Amino acid sequence: MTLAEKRAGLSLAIGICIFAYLTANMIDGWAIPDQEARHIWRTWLFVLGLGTVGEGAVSIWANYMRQQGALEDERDEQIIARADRLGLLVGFCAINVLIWQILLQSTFPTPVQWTLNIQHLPTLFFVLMSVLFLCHGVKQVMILVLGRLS
Amino acid sequence: MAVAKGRVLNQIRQLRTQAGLTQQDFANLVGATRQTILAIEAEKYAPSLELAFRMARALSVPFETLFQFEEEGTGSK
Repeated sequence: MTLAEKRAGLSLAIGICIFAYLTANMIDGWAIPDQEARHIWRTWLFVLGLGTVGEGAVSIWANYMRQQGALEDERDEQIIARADRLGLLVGFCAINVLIWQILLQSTFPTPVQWTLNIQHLPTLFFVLMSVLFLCHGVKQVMILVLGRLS
Repeated sequence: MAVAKGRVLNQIRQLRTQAGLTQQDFANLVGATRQTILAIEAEKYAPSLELAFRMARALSVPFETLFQFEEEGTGSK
């Protein structure tokens, strides 16, 4: 495994843990209940803090490994760039699905069962945060997959 | 005018084993990872010009001995 792959694996694991925390804080069963603004703010700040600390720790570890002689070469850079593009593409598609939901709800004001209730702020918050985690997760998974395949 | 597609072939595996180098030794010599050497030898990855020249220099062979370009369809090198 290259340093880039190990780093992607660690970053993915941290991302999954933070997303689990977010989900546990926002979801009750399969529904997103009403929540106070203060609770949403606190959750967002905590997720941001955990993400910053986690990614910072991974960066420090990667720097240490580089000092020990681990390499990230041109192929790793190419793989990371391709994974970045794929992550961006998934984010672009996910945001467009959200836009489609907003357009649907502006056309049919009563939320249909199979649409997300975008007017419900905790739902909107959770969906937007999920899109961020999805982009991050896809990028890390693609680094792992492309590292094996290309 | 349409340009015919092609692929880059290489003799790295043969020349490396002739030189008695493992993939890891060779990777250390040229400043790449073992996985990159593996991918180049399997012709899954075409290296940059800089890395290609480093490889030729490390094996003490001319660039053309190490890499060949084959145009698709023609089979010409």
